[in-house]
Amino acid sequence: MHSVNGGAAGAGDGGPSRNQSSWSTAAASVVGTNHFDQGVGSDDWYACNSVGNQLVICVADGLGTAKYGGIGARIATETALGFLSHPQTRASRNVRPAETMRRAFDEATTQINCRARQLICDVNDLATTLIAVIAFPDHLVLGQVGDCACVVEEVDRRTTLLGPPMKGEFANVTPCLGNTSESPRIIRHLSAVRSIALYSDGIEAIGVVRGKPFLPFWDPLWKFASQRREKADQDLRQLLCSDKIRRATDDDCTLVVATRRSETWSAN
Amino acid sequence: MESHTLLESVATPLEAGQNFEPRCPVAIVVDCSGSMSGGKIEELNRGLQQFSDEVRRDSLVALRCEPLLIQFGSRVSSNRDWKTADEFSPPKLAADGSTPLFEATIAALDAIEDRKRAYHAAALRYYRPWMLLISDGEPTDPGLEAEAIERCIDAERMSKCSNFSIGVDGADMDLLAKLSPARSPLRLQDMKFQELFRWLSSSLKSVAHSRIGQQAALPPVSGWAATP
Repeated sequence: MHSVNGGAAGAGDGGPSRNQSSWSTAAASVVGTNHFDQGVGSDDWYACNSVGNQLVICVADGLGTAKYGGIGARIATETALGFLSHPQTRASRNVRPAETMRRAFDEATTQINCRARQLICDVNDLATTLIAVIAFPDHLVLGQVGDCACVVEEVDRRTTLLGPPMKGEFANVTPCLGNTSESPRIIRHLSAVRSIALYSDGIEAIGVVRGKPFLPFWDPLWKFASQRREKADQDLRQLLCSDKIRRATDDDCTLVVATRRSETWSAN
Repeated sequence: MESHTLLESVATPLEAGQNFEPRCPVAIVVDCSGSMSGGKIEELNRGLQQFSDEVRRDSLVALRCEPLLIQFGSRVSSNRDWKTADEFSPPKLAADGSTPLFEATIAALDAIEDRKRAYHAAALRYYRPWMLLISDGEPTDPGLEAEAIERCIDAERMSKCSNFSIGVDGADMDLLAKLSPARSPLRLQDMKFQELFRWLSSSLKSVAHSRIGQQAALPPVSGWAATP
């Protein structure tokens, strides 16, 4: 399994290698100028994995108030990814994907509580948001707690905000995994998608306006992700580090984009 | 697509001339009654101008912070022209008239709720609004006292906004305490309006840069608040 923060996304244990996957992925995570100025690292984490005909992507954002929010985010993504990818727990014909997703969030919460005991700290010190998606050939299932969000490119090229951020009334309030863990919002999208993007809230002001995807941002990204290139992660990272993004947000930014390889369409 | 092409081809709402940053509204309610004339109103004007300059300097605060000035004296300004800090330009205030403090407080709370409705309509996120109340005298509209106090208590209890009250000279601090029930009012030291507004701009920077789940830490008030 290859789950990384700020690096490349890859293929999972026993699954096809990245080059053999039916999905092209690009991922990047950069530290916000707010954190950089304070001399601290990113609290975002992401992980993705392709097993058989399933693609799993997880993104988490440790809360700013949480002392070990970055650790919580890593535990959440890696636990959820492991659960959703493991042969014994991943979704199958016998296990409903929505139920699998709920269990993955339960497991992430359990592991966060476990780490809190190891660190002898309050579980809220590890508070984090989490979003996870399982993409099947003909549908996808999304689980979400907090304000990381999901945008998809439908087969007919429409761009849809599938998992809008869960948030409180005020901009700096969001539900999270922690002591007062929220039940995940589960969304089933009953048709195939061409591309998927999961992102942390740093991207929101750029990618979504008036509750709708901002197409001048997403359309070039879909096109970019659909092309096989050697340096996709670096290119995406360059974008997230650019002035045009940094002018709009000082927060950590994480973006994972996956596009189904065109030759696999005929099989779907 | 070459690597530089992604960077060039992607556009952001800001580039499209649209500001969808989350907003931080702050109603600045200032006493312009006759008792503020002379040095006090001059220092207040200087403080406001300095505040305007400082919030513009931080590019993110300039896009997120929305100050609204409500002055009360011979009348209460009914202005609800919220503007982001990059467009905020305070008028030169003149001291005149009575002290309709309660009417101004109610007007500010109404303006905040009105603004929140506009945010909802525009699908804009926002931070918890602020109301900063500055007064030096006894209110002259006692008929509205009960309503104003009730509205302030409700605003804090329901987390509608955060109220801050600043007393100047002989202000009735007990009364101001009723208008900011969650935090004690502070008395301005020696007409230090500029220091007060420097604190306000620093505080709003802290709020505007705060991350999800993060309660903004405010700077110390020792530079302008009198010790009790």
